Amino acid sequence: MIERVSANDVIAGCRRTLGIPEQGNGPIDTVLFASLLRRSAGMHCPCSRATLRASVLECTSALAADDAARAKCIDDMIEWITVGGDLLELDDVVTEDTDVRQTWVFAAPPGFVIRPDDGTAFLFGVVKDQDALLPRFLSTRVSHDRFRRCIEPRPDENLADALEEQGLQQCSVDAWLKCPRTETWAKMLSRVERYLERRVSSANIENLMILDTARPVSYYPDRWGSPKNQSGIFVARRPREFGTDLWCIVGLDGGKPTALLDLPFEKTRWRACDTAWHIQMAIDNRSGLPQQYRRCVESGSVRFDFFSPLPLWAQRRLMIFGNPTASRGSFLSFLVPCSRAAAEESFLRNNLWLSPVENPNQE
Amino acid sequence: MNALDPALVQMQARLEDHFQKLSDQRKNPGFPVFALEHGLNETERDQIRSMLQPRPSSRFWLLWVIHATEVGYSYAGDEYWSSFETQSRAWEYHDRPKIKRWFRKFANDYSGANPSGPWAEHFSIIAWPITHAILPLYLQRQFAKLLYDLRYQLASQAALSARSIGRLLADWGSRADSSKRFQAFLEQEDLIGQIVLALLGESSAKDALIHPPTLERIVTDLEKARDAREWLNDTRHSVSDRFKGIGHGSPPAEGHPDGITLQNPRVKALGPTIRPSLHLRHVEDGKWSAFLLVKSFRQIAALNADISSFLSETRCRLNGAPDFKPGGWLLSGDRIGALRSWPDHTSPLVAFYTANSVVNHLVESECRLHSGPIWLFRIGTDWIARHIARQIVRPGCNYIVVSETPIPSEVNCFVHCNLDCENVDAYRLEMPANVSETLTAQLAEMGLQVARTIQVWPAGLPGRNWDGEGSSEWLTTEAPCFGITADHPVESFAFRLDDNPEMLIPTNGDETLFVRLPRLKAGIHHLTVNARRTTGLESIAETPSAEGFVHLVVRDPEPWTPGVASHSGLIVNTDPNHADLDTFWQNRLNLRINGPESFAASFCVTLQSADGKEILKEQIGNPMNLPITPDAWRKSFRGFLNDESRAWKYLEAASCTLAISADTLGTCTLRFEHEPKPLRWIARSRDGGIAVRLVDDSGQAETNLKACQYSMRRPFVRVPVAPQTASSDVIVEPPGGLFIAINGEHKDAVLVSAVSGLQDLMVTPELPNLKRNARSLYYCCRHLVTWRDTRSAGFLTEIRRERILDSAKDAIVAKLCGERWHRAERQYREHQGLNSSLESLAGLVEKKRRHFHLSIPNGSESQTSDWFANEAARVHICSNHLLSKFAFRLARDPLSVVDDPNLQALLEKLIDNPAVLRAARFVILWRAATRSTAGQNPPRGNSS
Repeated sequence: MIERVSANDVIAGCRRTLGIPEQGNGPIDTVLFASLLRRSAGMHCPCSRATLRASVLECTSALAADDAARAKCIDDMIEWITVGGDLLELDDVVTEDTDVRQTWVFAAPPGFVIRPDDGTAFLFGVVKDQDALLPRFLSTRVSHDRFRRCIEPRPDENLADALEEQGLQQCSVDAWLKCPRTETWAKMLSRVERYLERRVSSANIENLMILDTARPVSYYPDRWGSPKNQSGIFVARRPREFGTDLWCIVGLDGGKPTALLDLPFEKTRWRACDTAWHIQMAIDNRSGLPQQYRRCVESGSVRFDFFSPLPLWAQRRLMIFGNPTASRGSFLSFLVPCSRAAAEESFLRNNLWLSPVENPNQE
Repeated sequence: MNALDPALVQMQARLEDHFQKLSDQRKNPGFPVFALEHGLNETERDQIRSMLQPRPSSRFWLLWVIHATEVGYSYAGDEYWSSFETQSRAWEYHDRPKIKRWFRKFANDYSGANPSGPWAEHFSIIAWPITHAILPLYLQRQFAKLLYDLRYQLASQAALSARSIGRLLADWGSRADSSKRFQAFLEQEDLIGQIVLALLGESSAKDALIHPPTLERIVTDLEKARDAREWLNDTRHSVSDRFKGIGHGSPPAEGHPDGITLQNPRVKALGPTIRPSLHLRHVEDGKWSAFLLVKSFRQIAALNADISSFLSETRCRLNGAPDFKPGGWLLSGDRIGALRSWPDHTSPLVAFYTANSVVNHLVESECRLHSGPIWLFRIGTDWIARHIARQIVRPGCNYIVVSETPIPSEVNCFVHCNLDCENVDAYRLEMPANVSETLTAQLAEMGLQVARTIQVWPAGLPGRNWDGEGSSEWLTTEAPCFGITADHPVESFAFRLDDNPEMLIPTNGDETLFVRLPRLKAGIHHLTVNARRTTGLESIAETPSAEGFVHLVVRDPEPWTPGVASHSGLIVNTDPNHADLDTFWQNRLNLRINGPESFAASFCVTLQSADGKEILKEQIGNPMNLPITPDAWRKSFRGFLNDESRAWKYLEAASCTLAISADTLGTCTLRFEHEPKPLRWIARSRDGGIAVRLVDDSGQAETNLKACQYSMRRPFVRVPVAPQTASSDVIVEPPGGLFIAINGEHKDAVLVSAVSGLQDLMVTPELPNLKRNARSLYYCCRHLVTWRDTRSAGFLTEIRRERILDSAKDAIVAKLCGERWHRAERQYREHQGLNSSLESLAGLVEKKRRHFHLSIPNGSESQTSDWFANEAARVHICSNHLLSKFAFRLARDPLSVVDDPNLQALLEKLIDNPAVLRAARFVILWRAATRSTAGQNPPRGNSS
């Protein structure tokens, strides 16, 4: 009947229900958080990120010792499963009510993308009531790594056909790699400045935080601060009563706002933060201190370390050609096969205007 | 003569013996015998087919039954008889009733299966061989997939009767994206249930519900279908415990691999769960909006076909929303609707445009907001305020209180806030951590209770619809876990689940207690939690110990149907909800697609033949930016349809899918099929031309069959078509025609266009010399409706149809208004609406000039016809309002009056008073002229 159980029993029961491998009496790990978030998305979407966060925060309450670490891990996993295609974060979207446009998180329909080099299927998507999308003969082959769910093809198997047969939609690599057109940072900034000229405003913006170009690009969290006497254009965030802070671009003159442009731009599919991070890369280039990446060879792959967030479309690219890996003194890190490294490096330079920094410990 | 063939005689005798034994074995379980259970191997089946070539004789009726069943087993879903007759050379059309007779004999002699359900009634002959084929090959994959989708529902079936299982499959089959033929197959609920029991059961050979070699044959064939073997294995795995022992008639075993399933006869059964939930969302700058989350009505639709049809077709409105939602809106998943005014609690939250007693009863009881004067919403950390029906507030929490009347300012903690909803006021309520007695009393006066402090929450798995106050929804596949804490010393917690005995779990004070419930059966369950205080606290406490309730709604998991619209960001609405293939291909479907503006949707149309072969797969135009309106969709699709080769391919199609894809938003797939009709014309391309053929599966006598055609050139001249001719390919002469067939209560018509060269692109119809009498005009109108509503096939059909209809409508108006008027109106049109021509028309309305006030209202057509009737009476053209309004409608579109019950009588009156029709025509032309030349001087309006 009703039985008293330990926190570990609760966690183990969750794993069984969600169809993810058991880990003995281990604590909640990232795989479980990602699965709980997907399940929550199946119940709540379309909703805000905060709804998913609140839902998983509540149900994991008292199951982990460190509440702050748990909240941080949930936030990180929401971002990762968004990057991984399980969630779609859409701005100004019209659903049932044409008068209401909101930024909502949607549960992506189940699909997969085939990794070009080895044919591995990267699964994404969420279905209400169905934690395991696939029948047993396929679901037992799914490997879970943090937020990622992959199936490796067997010899002489057409994995794409097998997955499509189960109703999953194949996303072409081209669609998966969709990104803003390649342009120079100068051209991008010129466009942003044109937009900003039309949004002149002298109103005081309370609690405005800016990404300070003058601060070192090597440690992203430290770059945020209140405006002091800076002039020029800045990526910024401004608070609102309910909801997460808004991303915006501000023009400052001696620390006073002269123009304000909320992100994202109209009719763009990129999230506000992706646009902001991309613009910041352009701003850093103009100021002569471009953002950097570190490259080193590790376990037969090339490791790329990044010191600031990358837009979603750049992360997806690195994720499909490589694998995210634990960061070491960096904000984000990916391992990319040596054969792809040159192409990815070219992409980082041309599309994100990043500069390489030599790894002092390498070779 | 086959009567002399000893092999046939021997085979007949052997099979009679076989079926007699089978029939005797089945008497006990009461399971019917199927002709497919003949036990013959492939060679023997071929042998029978080759031996049955002479004329059919009742001496070998059983062999014919088996042969017909084998044709049914390999039936591909299109034409049974053509396949049967190809394999039986001596068979003739008029032999068909013999099949039914022989199957009836089989049913009588051997307790054979009787086809049942609407499909069997409509297809009264072929239903026999197809039913006796048990599970025809072409349905096997769909069947395995449906079993897999419903594995959890099957596992949780309370009663293991064939009927309840059949009912379950029929319900879900009708909701899923399955073909109409498969849905019709599932209507045979008893049979389906029996097949499922046989496929999944572990009965011994002695108790086998299907003859073992036959079952083995079906399973072998079924497992040849792609993935079907895996689906079937997963289904067997899920239901294996449940089905153990059913072959021996023992009750089902309880339990799941890792938990005990609670079975309590007093658990409240779960009816259709359609209770909507209300919540408030913060929009911007302190402004809130009210939304209603409406659960899918699929469960209600499954109650019966009438309700399903009602919900598919009837528009609905949310109580407080300004607009009507299209038919079927409630059937495609859970929905969200914005409210502009506060719902009236005396009415249901969902109302339908027309009434249905069952649905009305359900929404009256399930879809209501409790009466005011206040409603409480707790603001979550996600800034959504969820309705708390139990009106309980907790210290330290934030709420919005919606009130019918303003809350007096002396009540502490309430701050007015902006809710975008009429008829109510809204207030933010920030509960202090320590609630004073004054505030407690003030809240109590308003009907709000301050909560006791036992905290209970879903632990591990997030609870569906968890409102923070004890209500949540769970699946039958889950074992709900809860975390429990109290803010005062507690010695133990006492739990009671439904009416089960209380269970005491000791606790050491401030720790969090986790409890796990067993997997619960579908239904509504109650968990009571009582905190037993420590002895020390108990002696000084004045209040009783704290008690909390958890309300668990438990249901089976909902199967996933790929490509069905959901909250994925791509919102697809169609009107009508379940359009058939003709409606889609004739571009009459209202398709609306919402989604983010930065995405574009691409459309891919696929046509398939009856046996599932792909005939055409093409993209429709360029991707279209979201959102897409019905007009924009039709415009794009019109360009696609205007292609001769596609028109030819459509002729071969039995079904069509439209895949709407928007990158990562996903794909929504709509399926359209021809309605399965027992009597139907089939158009096919043949030798560079087009041919039609009549398929008659109605089972009616051939002598009752009537067929005819009307050429597009002479659309009113009926040319009979002999039944024998109709049932073979009839080459359609250009420019084409209307083909009609009737047999008893069954009727079908098709409008076919044939093109032989460029000179034939346009049609100039020869119209009959209409007589100016009501009977002739009445017939003409009725006949035109057939031309208008009939499905079409071929290239240019729609353009030609319009031309014929326009010509005929002109002829009707000309006959009623008079030749002089008709000439003048034609002249006016040829001069492209010159004012002078319109003025000359005005002079022809009546000999005596009348003075109309041509201030035509800009309202609906009904308002305009009211205005016209008043004006016609005022200027003494016609004092009969009914006639004036009829004239106005007829002048606008002669086909709009066809359904008028007084059509013939009103036509007679109009013949006596044509001036009222001429006046109506004038008003319509004048209105069109003023609209098209807005800003210019309209023709003088005082002359008629």
